Amino acid sequence: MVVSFYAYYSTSLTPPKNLLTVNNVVFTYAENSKAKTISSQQRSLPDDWLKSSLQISEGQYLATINVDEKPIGLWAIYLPVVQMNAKIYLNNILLGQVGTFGEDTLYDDPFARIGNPPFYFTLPDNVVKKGDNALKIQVQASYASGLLGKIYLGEAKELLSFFEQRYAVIVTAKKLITAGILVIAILMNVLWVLRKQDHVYGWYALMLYTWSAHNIFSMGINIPLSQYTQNILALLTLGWFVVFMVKATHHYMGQRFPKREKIIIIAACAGSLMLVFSAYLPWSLRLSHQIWSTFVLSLAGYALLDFTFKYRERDDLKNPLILPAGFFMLVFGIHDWLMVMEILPRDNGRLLHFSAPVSAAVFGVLLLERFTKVLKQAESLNQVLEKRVEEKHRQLENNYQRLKEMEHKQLISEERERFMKEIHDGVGGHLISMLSMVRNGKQEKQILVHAIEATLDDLRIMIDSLSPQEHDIPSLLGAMRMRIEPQLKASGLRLHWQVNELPAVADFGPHKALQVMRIVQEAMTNVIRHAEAKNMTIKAFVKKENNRVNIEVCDDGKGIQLDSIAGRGLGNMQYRANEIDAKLNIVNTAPGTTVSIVF
Amino acid sequence: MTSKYSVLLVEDDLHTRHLLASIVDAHAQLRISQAVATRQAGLDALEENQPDVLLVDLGLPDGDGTDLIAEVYRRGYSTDAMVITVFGDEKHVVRAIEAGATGYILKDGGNRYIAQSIIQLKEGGSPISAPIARYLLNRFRPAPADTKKHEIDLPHLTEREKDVLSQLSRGFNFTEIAEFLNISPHTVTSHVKHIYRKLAVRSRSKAVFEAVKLGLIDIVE
Repeated sequence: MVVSFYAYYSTSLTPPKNLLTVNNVVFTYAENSKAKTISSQQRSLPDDWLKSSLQISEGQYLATINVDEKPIGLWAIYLPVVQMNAKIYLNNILLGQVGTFGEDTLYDDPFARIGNPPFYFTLPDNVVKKGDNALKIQVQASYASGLLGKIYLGEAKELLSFFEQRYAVIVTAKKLITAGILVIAILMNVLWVLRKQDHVYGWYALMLYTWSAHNIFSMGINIPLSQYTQNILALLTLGWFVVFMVKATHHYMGQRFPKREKIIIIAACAGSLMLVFSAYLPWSLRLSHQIWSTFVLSLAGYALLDFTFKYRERDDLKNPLILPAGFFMLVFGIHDWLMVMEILPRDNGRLLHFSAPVSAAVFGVLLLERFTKVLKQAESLNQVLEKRVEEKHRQLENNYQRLKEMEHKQLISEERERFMKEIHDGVGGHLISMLSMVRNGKQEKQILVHAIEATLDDLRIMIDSLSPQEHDIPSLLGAMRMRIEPQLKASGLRLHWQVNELPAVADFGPHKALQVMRIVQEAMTNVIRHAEAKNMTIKAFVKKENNRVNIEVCDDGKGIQLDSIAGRGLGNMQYRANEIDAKLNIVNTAPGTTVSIVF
Repeated sequence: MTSKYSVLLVEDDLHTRHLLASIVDAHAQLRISQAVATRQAGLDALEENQPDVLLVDLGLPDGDGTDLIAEVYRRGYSTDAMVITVFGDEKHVVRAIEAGATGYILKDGGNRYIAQSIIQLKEGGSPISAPIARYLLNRFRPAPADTKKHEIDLPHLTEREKDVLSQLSRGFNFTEIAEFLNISPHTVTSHVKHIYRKLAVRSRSKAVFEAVKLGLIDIVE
C-alpha cells in the first residue's frame, strides 16, 4: 500500500512530455550587504540553498527559454516548488508574486516558507515571443534556506492539469486531512469528558490537536503571526505531538513509566527552548532544526517499537490494524527526517501528514472499541448487580416467610397447650366428679343426666371452637343457641336474636373462641336460672364510635346484686375476659342487666 | 292409612343401632326396612330394594358410609340420605352432603327430635346449623383467580339462597328467617335442601373433571 501511494505521489511530480522545462539558471547575488559588486553562479534546478555555503538572503535567478513558434492559445508558467518570497518576470513583464516583499510590516518576513503551495500563472497575450525569452525571478529568503524547483512553460491546458494534480495532493489533501484529524480530536475530547478517569482519551485528543496545529502552521495559511514564528511553532508542535503520542500509548497499554516520561518531557522542553532561542542565533536554526527532528524521530521510533513489542506479549492489544498504521507513520517520518537531514532532496515535499488519516482512524477505532467495551462492561456489571440484588431480595423474603411460619407455629402450639388445659379442667373434671358420684353410690339419675349433658355440651363447645370457622363469632353464637334451645324452651323465656355480621377479631384462635363462648354461656345460664326474666336478647355488633366488636346478653329480669350471685360465676367470667384481652362490662339496666364483652 | 316411610339403617354400634331402630319403629310414619352393621350389608340391602330414607353412620368397620350415599345416587333412587353424627361438626356433615346426603341427625338428639328430622326431610326440608351454613357460604364463594372454565358451569347460589345462608350462619332460626324474608318456614328448609343438592352436584362435577384430567374417563361429546 505504501508503494502504491508513493507511486501515485511521484506521478504527481512527473511533468507531461512536451513542456518547456527550465533546468539551468544563473544565480546572481550580493555577497553581503556591504558588497559593491554582484556575483553570479551557474546553478541547476532544483536549487537548494542549504546545499551551498552562501549566507545570503536575496538574489535573482536568470534563465533563457527558447520558444520555436509563437504560441497560439493560452500559455502558462508553473513553478511547483518555491520556498521563498519571489517575483517572477518574463521579458521584463511581472507575471506574479509569491509571498510579501517587505511591503507589509506585519507579514514582512523573508523567511523561506516550507509550506508554499505550487504556483501557476497564466501568461498574458504577446508576452511569449518566438525565440529567446528572458525569465527573471527575484527572490528573498532569509536564514539561507531557500528552495527553487524546476520551472515549466507550456500550453495552459496541459500545465493546468499537471498543476492541479500536484495542488490536490499537496494542498487540498493536506487541508482535508487536517480537518479530519481535528474532528477526531474533538470526538476524543468528548469521550474523555465523558470518562475522565480514562486518561488515554485525553492524551490522544491532545495529540491530535497538536498535530492539527502542526499542519496549520506548516501550510502557509494567513495567520497573523510572522513566518518565523509559524515555522518554530510548526516544529514545536511536531515534537510535542510525538511526546503526547508516547503518553497516549503508555496510557493505552495501561502502563506508567514516570521516570521515562519525565526524561522525555524534560528533553522536549529543552529542545523547545533551544528552538525558540535559535531565533537570536541565526546560524543555529538549521542545526537546532536537525537536532529537534532527530529527537522527534527517535521518540516516535521508541513509541512504535515499544508498542510493537508489547503487541506480541499482550492479547488485548491484538489488532491487525495497528502495525500498518504505525508502519506508515514511521516510513513517512523517516522520509521527512531524511529530507531535513538533507539526505533526500527537499523539493518533493513532506509526507508525514499523509500517514495521519490512517493512524488517526486506526487509533480512533481502537479507542472507540475500548470505550464501547467499557460501556458493555458497565452494563453487564449492572446486570450482575441487579441479579444479586434480586437474589438477596428473594433470600430476605424467604427468611421473612420462614420467620412468620415459625411465629405462627409457635402461636399454634401455645393455643394447643391452653386447649389441653381446658379439656383437662372442663371435660376431665366433669367425668371425674361423675365417676366419684357413681362410685360413692350417689346415683341420682337426674344429677347424673345433667352432669353428662353438661359434659357433652362442653365437648360440643370445644369442637365448635376447634372447627375451621372458629374465628367466625356469629356462627359460634348460632351453634350455642342451638345447644341452649331445650333449656330456653323449658324456661319459657322469649329469645330475641340480633346478631350481625362481624369483622375478624385480632388473633382469634380456638382458645379465644372457647373463652368467649363460655362467658356467653355463663351469662345466658345466669339469665335462665336466676334473672326471672321474660325476655333475653343476644346482640352482636360493631360499635360505630370506636369500631369495636361487642357481644351482649341482655335481660329484663330482676337485675344483679353483685353479692347475690356466687362470686365464682362472675369472677370466672372476668378471669376469662382478661385471658383473651377483652373487656367485660356488667351494667344494671333496670329492669334487668346487660353483660357485654368488648374486643 | 298413609304408607310409612321406609328407613334403611346402617350403624355398626350395636346399642346405637337398636336405639335408633326402636325410635324409628315407634313413630307412626316411619318403619325400619332393614338395620345392618356393615357397608357391604348396606350395599346388598340397596340392591334388594329402594328405601325412602337411608340413615347411615360414616365410620363403618369395612369402609366409608359415604359410599352408600353415592350408591343411592348411582342407582337413581329417590332415597333421602341422612348421616348419623355425634357432634354435627361441619367436616362430617359436609362430606356426607358432598356425597349426596340431604340431612343429618345428632345421635343424642332425643327420640322426638330424631324422628321429626327424618319426617321433615321427607317432606322437603333439610336440617342445618350455623357453622354448616357459614361453611357453605365460603364454599360457594367463587375463587376469582382460578375460576377454570368448568367451574363456570357449576351451580351457584341464588341471591335468595345466599340471604338464607347468611342469616342461618348468624344463628337465626327458620321461623325468624321466614318472617324476615316473607316466606314460609317450609320454604326456608327446602332452600337448604336445594343448597345441599347443589353442593353435591359441584362435588361430583369436580370429581369427574379431575378424573378426566387424570385420563380415567373419556368425555364423549
